[in-house]
Amino acid sequence: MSSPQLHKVFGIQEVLCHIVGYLSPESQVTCLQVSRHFHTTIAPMIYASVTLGPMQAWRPSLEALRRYSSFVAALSFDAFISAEYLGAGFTNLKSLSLTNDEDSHHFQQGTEDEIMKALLRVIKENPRLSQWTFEKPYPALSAAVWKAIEGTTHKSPKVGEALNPKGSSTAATGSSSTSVVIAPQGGSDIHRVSFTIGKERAHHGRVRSRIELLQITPASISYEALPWVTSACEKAEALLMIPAKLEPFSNLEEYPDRVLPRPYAPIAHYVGLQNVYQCSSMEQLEFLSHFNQARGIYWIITKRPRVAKWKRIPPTIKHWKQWIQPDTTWPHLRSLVLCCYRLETRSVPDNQLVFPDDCVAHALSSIPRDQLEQFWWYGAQVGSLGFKALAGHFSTLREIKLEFTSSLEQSAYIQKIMESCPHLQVLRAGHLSVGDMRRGRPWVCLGLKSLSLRFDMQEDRVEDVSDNHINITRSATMERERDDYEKSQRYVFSRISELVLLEELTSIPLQAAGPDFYKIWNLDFQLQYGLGALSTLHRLKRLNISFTKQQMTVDDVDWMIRKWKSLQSIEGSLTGNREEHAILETILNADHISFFKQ
Amino acid sequence: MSAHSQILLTSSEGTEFIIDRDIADKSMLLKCMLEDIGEIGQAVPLPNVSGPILTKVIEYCTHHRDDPNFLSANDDVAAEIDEWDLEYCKVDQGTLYELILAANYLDIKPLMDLTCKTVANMIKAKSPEEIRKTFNITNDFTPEEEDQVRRENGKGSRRLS
Repeated sequence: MSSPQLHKVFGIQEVLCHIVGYLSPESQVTCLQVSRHFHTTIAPMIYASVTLGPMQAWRPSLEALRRYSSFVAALSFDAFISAEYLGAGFTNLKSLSLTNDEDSHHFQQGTEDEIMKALLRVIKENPRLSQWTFEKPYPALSAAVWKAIEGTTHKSPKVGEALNPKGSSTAATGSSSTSVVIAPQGGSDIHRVSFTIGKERAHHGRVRSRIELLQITPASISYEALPWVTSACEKAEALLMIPAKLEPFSNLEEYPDRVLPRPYAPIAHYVGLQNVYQCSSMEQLEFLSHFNQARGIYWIITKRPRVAKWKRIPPTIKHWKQWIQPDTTWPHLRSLVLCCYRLETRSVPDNQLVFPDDCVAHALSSIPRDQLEQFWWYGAQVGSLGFKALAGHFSTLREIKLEFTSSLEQSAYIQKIMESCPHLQVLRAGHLSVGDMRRGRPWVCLGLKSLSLRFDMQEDRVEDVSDNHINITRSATMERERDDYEKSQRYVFSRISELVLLEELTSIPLQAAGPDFYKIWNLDFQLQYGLGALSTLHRLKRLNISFTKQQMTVDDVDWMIRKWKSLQSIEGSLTGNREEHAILETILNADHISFFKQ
Repeated sequence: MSAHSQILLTSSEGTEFIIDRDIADKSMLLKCMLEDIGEIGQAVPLPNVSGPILTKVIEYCTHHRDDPNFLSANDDVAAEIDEWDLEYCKVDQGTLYELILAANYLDIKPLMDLTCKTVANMIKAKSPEEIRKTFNITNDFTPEEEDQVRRENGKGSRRLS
């Protein structure tokens, strides 16, 4: 009788690799020692990506690394750098990562000079190397290393890289990209610089380098890298978070008069300014207005009470127009993100720090109709002018995020958005009242995946609750609302049930004065109030009910588990009773549904 | 085409199976084939899949018929196998291997993941010799080669500090 044979399933390389892919690194290495076939099949897979760190559970020996160096495409040194390991003879690297922490120098092997030489050799011997990540590298990278990295973008293409020797237009362009991430070389802040450099093959096979993305935070440029980064800025097609004159962080508090580096060729497709404290908002606006090729504009400002008045966001359209370029148009804009976050809530009059309604309307009006896909407007209440301008893009908008306000006006706007934006996938905004839902037309945003709203159970409220200060004293009004409460709940649940593709649902609490108002005005996730209607939400993964007072029972939670098969997490408090809450948590945990209490 | 159209499949021995179209669509091979050529009313031959294995595959696809996440990528290596799937994989090794081959051929990624993960669980925490014994693998390294591979990779855990 012949001995049992190895099943053919192990002879198929992709199947064996698939199986081994489920194993820990230690078990994978054990598999290498099983047979020649296992070794030949698995070794290229195991050594394709190698991470070397002092705390790694498994770290290949130097001997193994030398033998399998040709398989390694991604090499990562984590808080550990060694000249010897760098010199293992890699020739097919595509990415190299040096990430470090404060104690990294304890794990350095080799002098700085030896490591720099080894790094230069790696860059030289790995022509495919196109992705770098340097995060607080220890030792500091030398200028020669930067030069070598930049040099890689000018290398001639290899034969077969989409090169058309005859220079015909059909294959005239082929591009590859180089990605570099730099981090500060001192301090504990996790600021990083990242950018992607691309090579684009123009006509006649000539290669020109281009910066696809430049992302800089103020603390992230060392003096040594400054000339190189400055040069990169001038080529950038996308800029994010521009620092003051690309100078180190220490100068930021001085608030120089002219800080934005210029001139910049306005070729960037994506432009972002985030918390650039050292220049006025009007200067930033002027800077943004240069980029008439922009596809995306991200302007994020933190409300800082100490910022001088002249440095704040333009308070009126008059100031706005004074700073924005007269001929500003953003004919290609798809994404407009305007955020003004509040760091301290006191002593800053809101009207001095928000993006004014008329200014936002002005910006939106400069974009051709039916083009915008993403729009954020944090830091101000949506006004009639801004909303009217936004309506010009209802047919294309996919993502809308607005300030959480509770004005009566905004409720009507949200209903309008939901009945007019057929492609909307993400909506995060203030409150929506039952009254506006009933009066409005059917929703068309049936592809919505993420919805965050304050659901207001009132049919018709006469009080405006702007600024979240609600003071209703008339008991008659409250009594009537109590009567309508259950009816309103069922209605809201039935409307949400139409959004069958919803993956994330957040019910935001309606801030209210008085203990009863939570109960009256917020959506109550209980079967007795019509939760059962939401059985259509088969794709729901996350439910967020933080800060809304809920009184769920075991039946309610059981129902959620049974009906929402995709549910992964619930955030918020399930019920006010501590003992009952513990039981509900246990039920969720038993079904591997994460629970986060606010 | 009706909403609940049915597809005829023929296993390697010629056994015929009639399944609903939505069950057939769980297999990317069948889905693409039916989309490309349409339902021609003839049996689709599956020469690489035997009748008993095809029965098991259909059982799996039918159980996950209404699973909304069926086709979404599940690359979570650490994710636990659910109870029904665990029970489903309690078969002899030969059947398990045939299921892998069928899943690979029919391009049913969730079944491929499940069966491969089950085999991986049989490898975990075993020594090279124990793995050989479990899967009937012959050690064809020369003593020198074996020594080298062990030296290079044998000490699984290394720490600098």
